[in-house]
Amino acid sequence: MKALQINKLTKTYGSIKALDQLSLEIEEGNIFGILGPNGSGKTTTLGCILGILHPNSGSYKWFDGKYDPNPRLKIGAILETPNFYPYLNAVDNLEIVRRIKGTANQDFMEILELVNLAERRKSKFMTYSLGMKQRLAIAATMIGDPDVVIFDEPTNGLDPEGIAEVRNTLKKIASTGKTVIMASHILDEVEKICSHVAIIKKGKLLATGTVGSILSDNLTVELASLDKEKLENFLKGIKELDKISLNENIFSIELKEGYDAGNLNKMAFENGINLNHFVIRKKRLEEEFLEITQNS
Amino acid sequence: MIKLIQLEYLKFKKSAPLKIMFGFYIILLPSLLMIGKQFTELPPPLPDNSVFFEFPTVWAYLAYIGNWLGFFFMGFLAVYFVSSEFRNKTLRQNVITGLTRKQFWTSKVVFIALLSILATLYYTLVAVVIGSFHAESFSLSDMFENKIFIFKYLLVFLGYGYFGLFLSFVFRSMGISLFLYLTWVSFLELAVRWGIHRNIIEHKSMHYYPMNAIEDLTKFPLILEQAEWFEKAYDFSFYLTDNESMIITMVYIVLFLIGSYLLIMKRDL
Repeated sequence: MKALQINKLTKTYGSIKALDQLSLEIEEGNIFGILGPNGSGKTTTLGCILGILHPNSGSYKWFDGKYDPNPRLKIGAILETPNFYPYLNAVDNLEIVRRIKGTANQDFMEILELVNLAERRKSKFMTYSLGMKQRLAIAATMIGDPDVVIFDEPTNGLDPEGIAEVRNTLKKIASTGKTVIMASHILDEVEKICSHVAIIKKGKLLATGTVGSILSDNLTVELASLDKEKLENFLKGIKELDKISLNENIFSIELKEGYDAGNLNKMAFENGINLNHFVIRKKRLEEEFLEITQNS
Repeated sequence: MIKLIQLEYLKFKKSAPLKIMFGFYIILLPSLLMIGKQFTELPPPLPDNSVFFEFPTVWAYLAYIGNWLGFFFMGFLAVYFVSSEFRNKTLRQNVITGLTRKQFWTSKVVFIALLSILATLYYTLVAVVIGSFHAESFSLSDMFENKIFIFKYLLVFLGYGYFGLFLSFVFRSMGISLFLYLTWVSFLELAVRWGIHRNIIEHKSMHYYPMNAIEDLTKFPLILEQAEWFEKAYDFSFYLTDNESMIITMVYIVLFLIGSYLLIMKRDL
């Protein structure tokens, strides 16, 4: 079953087109990342599919209409910042969420322990650090055992410890088999957590698929030599190499599919070039992302 | 409906403004009337201050005080209930969590109605208690001779409450909504009336403004006789009749409710 189908969604703010005929499909059980630079339309997309923004045109459907007319009761979501009643404690705030969801009574201890907030459950929300607020928001998304959980920039503004805690929590949630949709501009986060990804820019979909399919299979090799000029001439003479770039005396090249990186090292030696740096790695999502968004 | 009232109660039961406003209301309503004990000599035709406390006039004097308290407390609370949800972005989150926009609007409308009913019940209780203590003997018909005040009192609270609610849905900001609420009730409406009619005695339509209609629900009893004299002399009344003020207030209440409903349904949150 499809968890979400978005069909030609368009949203404008005056003359600015925040979403431009955006279409997207997310299968049940996907850990789906929505990637895009700031202002690309990620939050607007989530705002539309969560009912707080009215799209100008287009449509969306949750769970093939299974939970209509109010599918949001089966979705746990936070958008941008954690929003709670500041004068209420964690338990009272979660109780409000539970009442809206209309689920059975619970004491929330299990959920609060999952996000490491059990000890501070009686403290007012206004006394929480940003990391604690974010973790409470994640806890709130779990109430009512939703089929889909949505996070919008979940680690924004957190310190390294907070980021690690939130990522661990997200991984735990993802391991339960729920559909997870995460909007982020932090590529490392998406690469580590998500199975599928959509890249959007200026409200348009640029690419979508599994993280593996977005990442090309081509390998990237970094190499350097004391004789930079000789190395550069050598590399330019090999037609199986692609996209040669130089950064701080290190050449970065992409090998065409099937080309053996070890052969390159051997050839360099045979041409009298002594390499003092030779690293083979798969291309990272960040590089693919930059390439896709810059070429659009 | 009960679910929505419970939800509102959960949201605001620990909020300081609700406790402070209701606390002040409970203390001030009887206390302000009892200040009348200090005025032992009153201008003619009033014989003495017993009219403040005896049936049936206690209903009118207490309702006049209640109108002022309703203006301050109910209006402020209504603005607070709605605009704090915008400020804390909890309206957005409520909708994301699964509350429909219509349910959100209904919960506010019903909660304000419930508080207005509670305020009116307290008014009724205070009037009955004070009236009973200041009468040597009375019948139930004496006690409730002015029972129409109970309904008018409820309309006062609903009127101020839904005006505050409407302003908050329009402006979303607590500061702007509260400022406009206070200034509109205090003098902006008067200024608009003057700007349009340019005369103290004009067509009766100059009374058909929302806050004027709500104020005329519980007129200041001390000057009613002078108002009657003025009407006879100049063929123009300073006040709306009871029926007029009730109907006009109800019409405005409906307009405030329709306006706020359309705003929450149509706008982005």
